[in-house]
Amino acid sequence: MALSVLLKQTGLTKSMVNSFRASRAYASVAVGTDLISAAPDVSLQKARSWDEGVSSKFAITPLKDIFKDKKVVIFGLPGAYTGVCSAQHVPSYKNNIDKFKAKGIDSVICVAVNDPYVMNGWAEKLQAKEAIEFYGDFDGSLHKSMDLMIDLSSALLGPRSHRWSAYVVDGKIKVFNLEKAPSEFEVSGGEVILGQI
Amino acid sequence: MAPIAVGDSIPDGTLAYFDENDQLQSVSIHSLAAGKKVILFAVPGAFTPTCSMKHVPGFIEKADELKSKGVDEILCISVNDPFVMKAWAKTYPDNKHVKFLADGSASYTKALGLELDLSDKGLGTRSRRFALLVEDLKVKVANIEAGGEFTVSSAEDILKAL
Repeated sequence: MALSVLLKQTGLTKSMVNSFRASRAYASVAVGTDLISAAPDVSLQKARSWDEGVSSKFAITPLKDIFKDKKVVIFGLPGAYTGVCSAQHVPSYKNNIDKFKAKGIDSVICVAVNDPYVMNGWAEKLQAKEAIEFYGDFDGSLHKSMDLMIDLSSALLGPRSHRWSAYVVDGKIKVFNLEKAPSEFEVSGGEVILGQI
Repeated sequence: MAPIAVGDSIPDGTLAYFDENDQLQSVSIHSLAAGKKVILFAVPGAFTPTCSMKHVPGFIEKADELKSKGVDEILCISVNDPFVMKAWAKTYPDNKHVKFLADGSASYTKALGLELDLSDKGLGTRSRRFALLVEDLKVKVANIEAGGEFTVSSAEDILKAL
């Protein structure tokens, strides 16, 4: 159902989707990976308006500040304002935020290879900013270090992230879920990871 | 590539957009511009203030006046993907004539020689702010900012040239 909705919305054909599946044979990120030491120079950009960017002098947030000593649920998706991402992936976390807090989760984070201004506009449109922290990985540096990049040029998106989710405690990955194809939404949703932590 | 200038012919390139039925379309610039009078204006980024609050609205408000002076198409391009352009275009419900086109990989912007590195703002490679008046593929007016500032590239400036 999710796949056919995205296919209709983007004009992707099943054969294009199958070629995405074939491109990912291994993960260099897995349960046990320490994100902070695996990607020591990587930073993300918190979703913000331009004015907030100016007043913060375009500050960036190193991974250490996001993950150290914290229990974080983080999910990544191909693109702001795209079908499954907007209609299913983000809502599955937004609607379960109280359950995440009840389990002691410090932050629920959404990240995508988009700039932080687009992420901000999108987060506001989804009315999800209170529940979820949105970050832009505008140059893909986080996803490249996790080997989670995928070329979605045929969907006119260019280099983007796979769809994935993870439970990270003090920077160490405890749970990691990766969709077989970025248009799918089987394992990376809020309900699934809620049952895994 | 040297920046495009008055007297040059604009290169062809393919840009993307979502049509009224929400179908993803690709369009060649030449097919939109050959034999016609078009305005091509660009912004560094969707959802950023000068672009959203000053540059684009100027062209939307002046669209009827521009059309009455013989302009056939008003094209807004940005280095963003078509999903983002569609969402951004929707924030202008009064827009009747401006087409929002996505140059997601910056290939057309680079073909014009007008790319700009805004990585330190978290934007990556983008377009400089500019407005071109193009008649039958030949550039008649080239109002190009050095970066993202907004001094010469407005709708009013193009109107003065028509």
